[in-house]
Amino acid sequence: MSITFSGTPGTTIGSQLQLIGSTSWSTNTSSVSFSYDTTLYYNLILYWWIDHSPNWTWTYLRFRNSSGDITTSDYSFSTEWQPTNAAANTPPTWKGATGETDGDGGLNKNKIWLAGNGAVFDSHGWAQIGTMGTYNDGSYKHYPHVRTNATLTTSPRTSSPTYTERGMGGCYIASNTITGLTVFGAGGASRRGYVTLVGFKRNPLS
Amino acid sequence: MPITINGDTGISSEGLELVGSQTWDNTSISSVDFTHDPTKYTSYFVTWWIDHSPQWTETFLRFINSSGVITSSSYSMTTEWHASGVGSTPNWNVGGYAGDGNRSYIWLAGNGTGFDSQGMCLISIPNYAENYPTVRSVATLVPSTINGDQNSYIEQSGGDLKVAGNTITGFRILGSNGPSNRGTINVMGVKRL
Repeated sequence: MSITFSGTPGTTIGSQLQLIGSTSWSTNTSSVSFSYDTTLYYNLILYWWIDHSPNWTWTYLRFRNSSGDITTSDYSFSTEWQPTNAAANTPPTWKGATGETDGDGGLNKNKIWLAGNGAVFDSHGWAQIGTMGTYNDGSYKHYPHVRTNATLTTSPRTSSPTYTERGMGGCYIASNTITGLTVFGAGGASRRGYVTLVGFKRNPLS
Repeated sequence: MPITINGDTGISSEGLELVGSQTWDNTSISSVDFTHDPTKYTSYFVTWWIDHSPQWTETFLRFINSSGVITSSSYSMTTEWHASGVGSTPNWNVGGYAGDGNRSYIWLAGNGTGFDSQGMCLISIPNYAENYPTVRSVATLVPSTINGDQNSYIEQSGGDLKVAGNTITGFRILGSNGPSNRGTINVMGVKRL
């Protein structure tokens, strides 16, 4: 069976790509939590710019369920970063989801990496998030997942290079139990930042 | 202090809005400028498709301040491109584009006038003296009929400008060597609340 796109061409962007939430802060903040309806939004985009000082250090993501942040070791993620001062044809650093045992990637993790690390940096980026909350076949599980592109940006606080980064990850918990997500600093608070989450509102299931 | 946001059902459509759009066809355009409004936007999500002929060659980005386009060698960036040919390997930081605080632009795509480029990038301009404006880009370099059937390239870059974010008034997307005859650029602003 093939299906065609439904919806009205020319619909304003705001009616289908909707704001889930947005915030900015200028005092020490350690996390930002969003709740969203996974039966309405299967795909979302998270935008962030965060100053990692004084203690934010890494930018991580956790999904949420009815009990709050999911902190169990049910996540897997991989990471990649490349500094601006890398010599020509120096490969980026990769940390794969298989076999990695450190905090930068691997199986059985308790969070998903978005950017890092260092309190002297800022990070910004966007992450596409898939969370399918309604199944036609309720017996089949899907997992929420994330794909991210980021920059770990140097600042006047350091002479370190800037890093281009990307990553992906999933949470091995059925996505129809997910109620939201939390963006947080691994080491503590950030003094300033902006985070926005938008969702693509889905059409009725075919 | 944690922050909790409970707007869970698409309560408004104000998160991302179209700030600017430009399309040109059969007209020589060498650059497109956008004015930054720090009272409304924290970041901009830009999508582009640009024909690199006759002289555009590479797609660059520069920031703008009150003195005009910033052309000093104060930019940092990484570059990566990967040809579509079987067995090809990526090229990282090659060709003299990448560098740490010693470049005069941020590379978004290239190079060649026989190509088009299309991509998206996030530009963040923190409204603080202690933070730098920064860019993250993903793109494709696609051969045009000028080049015929040859490799496409998947490309990405990231970088910043070592100038206080609160002095930035806009940004420019430009061709490295001259004009393009056709293209389209859309700029969506990530609104601040």
